[in-house]
Amino acid sequence: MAYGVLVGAMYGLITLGLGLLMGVMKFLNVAHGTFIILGGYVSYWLFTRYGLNPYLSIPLVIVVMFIIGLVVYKVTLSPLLKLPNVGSRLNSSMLITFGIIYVVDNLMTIFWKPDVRSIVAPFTGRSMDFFGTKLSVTGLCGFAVAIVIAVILYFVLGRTQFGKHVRAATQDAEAASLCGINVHRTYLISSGIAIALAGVAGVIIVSSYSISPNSGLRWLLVAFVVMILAGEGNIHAIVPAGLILGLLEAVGVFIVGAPYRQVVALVIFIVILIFRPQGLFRKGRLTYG
Amino acid sequence: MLEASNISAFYGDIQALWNISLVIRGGEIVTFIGSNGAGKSTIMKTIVGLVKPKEGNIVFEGIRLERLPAHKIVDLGISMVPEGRRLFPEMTVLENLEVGASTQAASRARSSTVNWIHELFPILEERSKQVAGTLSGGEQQMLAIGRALMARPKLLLIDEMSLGLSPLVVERILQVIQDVNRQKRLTIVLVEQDVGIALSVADRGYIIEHGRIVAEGDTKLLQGDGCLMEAYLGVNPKGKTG
Repeated sequence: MAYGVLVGAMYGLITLGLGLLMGVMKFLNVAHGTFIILGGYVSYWLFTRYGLNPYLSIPLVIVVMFIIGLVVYKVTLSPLLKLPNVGSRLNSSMLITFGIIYVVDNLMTIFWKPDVRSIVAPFTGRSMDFFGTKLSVTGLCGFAVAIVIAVILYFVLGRTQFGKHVRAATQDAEAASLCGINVHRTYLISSGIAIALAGVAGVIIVSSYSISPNSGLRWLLVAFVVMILAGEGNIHAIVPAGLILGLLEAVGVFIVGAPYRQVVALVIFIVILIFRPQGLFRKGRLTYG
Repeated sequence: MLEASNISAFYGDIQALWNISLVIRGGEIVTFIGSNGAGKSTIMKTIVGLVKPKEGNIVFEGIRLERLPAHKIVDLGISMVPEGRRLFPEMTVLENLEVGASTQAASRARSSTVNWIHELFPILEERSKQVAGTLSGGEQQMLAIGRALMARPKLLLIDEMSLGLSPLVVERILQVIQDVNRQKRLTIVLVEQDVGIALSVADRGYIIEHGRIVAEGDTKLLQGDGCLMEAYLGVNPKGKTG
């Protein structure tokens, strides 16, 4: 159960970057998993080269991935803003980011070889005692990082001027520009943040699990499920939705056994899409504008 | 203050404005009137930068506007209350106002401007924490105007303010608009389908039809010209729509 909570928080963290791009700009970044892995590789590289503790490498990973996010936006995503409607924007962003998967996955294979990597640090196998349950140190750290990031995001979106610009641009981009908001720059910075969030998730994954150049797809699927659970555009519901998924998976595994873990997630995905496509946390029906 | 010359604008391949030339002078209230689809809103959107003209130029206090993005034009001092209000439905009343002051100059004066808006429209202060999507039509219109004023504009464009509002609310809002025009010398351009409202408040008017200006002048003169009123606006000589 507790394990479900730890994993769930991590699931939430993984999804934040995807949810941000989707919610703010209606871009579906299928390369999200790839960027997670890339973040993991950056942390791995810093660890093996310089012995840097992965959790301490997070700020560096954030900076690197943020810059990559800016470039991705400028080069591949911003041209899509000229498209007339949301539907074509969604489709085209899927196509373009699908292409990014090929490019980046292969670059990573060239740089780091196709072997599976993970960070094995002094704390890797260890666990701590928590009210009678043994919880892994990496799991606890992952949980902590997820909560901290979620809280920071909450404050940035809710209290800062930039956060208000993001929310305004999300709700009505034209009206936002009439208020003097530079919507393009807001989108640019949001893209940087989204990719940076993917990078942070990658650090957690390379420390708690393992990565290889093509393993992004698995995490992308998790992120899809969590995003659907949370409801499109509902950024603050993402970590709670992740927690729910984590708990449901733990329960499911308890009932049907560990090999079916991923099946549980995908079944939930299908059920939600059929019965409540607007997500668990959204009031009202799903509309296509 | 603002001069548009030979503006032609398109929506895709469809031409919406033909050779529009007009002048707005500082401190006055100007109205664009005409039937639905005549092009009044298009002119406003072209001035504020949401629509880029294919030909012609717009000069505001010496600066050419046609190539500038909308947010830069707001920075220069032009603010618009768009048709349909276009509030941010999931943000509170106060947040909508705060976001209205997103330019550098406006954000420095944000809290004092908020106080001013609360004086103009006290109901907005009462409803500060309420989510904008839950306000009544009149309150939404007041919030939309308040939000546009937060940018501390020199020129305010108001597009179809009276749509869907009761006469009492419209009257109250018009009073505020006139007060702001007189006290702060804020230049106002009003697009209105309700000819009576437009002519009662404005100093000068332009009559738009099929994307062209067909008449212009002092509102007193326009009102007096019965043939003009009838021909273009379907308004009988008494000033009521027929």
